[in-house]
Amino acid sequence: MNDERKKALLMLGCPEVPVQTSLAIYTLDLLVKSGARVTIAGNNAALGLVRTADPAGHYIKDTADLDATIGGLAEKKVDADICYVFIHNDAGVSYLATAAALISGEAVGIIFGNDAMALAQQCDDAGLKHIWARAVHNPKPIISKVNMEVERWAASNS
Amino acid sequence: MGCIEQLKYEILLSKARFKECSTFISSNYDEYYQVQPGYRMMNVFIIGVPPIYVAVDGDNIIFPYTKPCHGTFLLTIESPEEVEKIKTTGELVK
Repeated sequence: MNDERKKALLMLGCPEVPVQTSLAIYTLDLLVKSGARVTIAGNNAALGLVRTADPAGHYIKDTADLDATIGGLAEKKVDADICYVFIHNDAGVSYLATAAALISGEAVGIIFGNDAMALAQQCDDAGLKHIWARAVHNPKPIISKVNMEVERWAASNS
Repeated sequence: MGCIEQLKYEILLSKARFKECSTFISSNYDEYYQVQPGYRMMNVFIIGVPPIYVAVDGDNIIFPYTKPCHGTFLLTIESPEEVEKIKTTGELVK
């Protein structure tokens, strides 16, 4: 039986900024509630944190290695209707630009951390879609923006 | 650094910003090409903010390699095969 749900890809960055893990699971939950099938891609540490936060797998159903996901996107073996890239450093902007170039759907950066404003400017300069807030330990500053962004995407597909 | 560790490489820039690597290539090499994000170089896929530059110096190929926790490294690897490939598939900038 074909799974006709929209495909969402969450691309995690380095997990050194505390809000990333909870923000990723929160975003995943919004996407699942909007009817999407969600895969989280990250390195071993980032995936280890999200799996540990959801030990019974209530939220996280599919995970993937970040490098393998980039390879899959490049070789057109992987695709998504929406890709949210979690960004708190310069490398994250590179991942967003790459996702934007490779997926058939939308790529949007979720920017947080101490350098959020500068990184948002980098994304603007590169023509990359994003939301941002200077959230480091407390996700509250960016939560309402995530809510609005996922609502926007879900509405654009209804 | 994943699969790249299996190759014999030299690091020209370490833990840099992506733009610094692009500037280094455009300022220091007489022959460089532009590739798209996802360009395959040996066992890795190049990521970055376009324009992504890859330089050629004899049999050596110079390219940015980004990791989520460590930023971007500018690497040089001796690979006549990749040099030949970039000359045919890359877009010559200079």
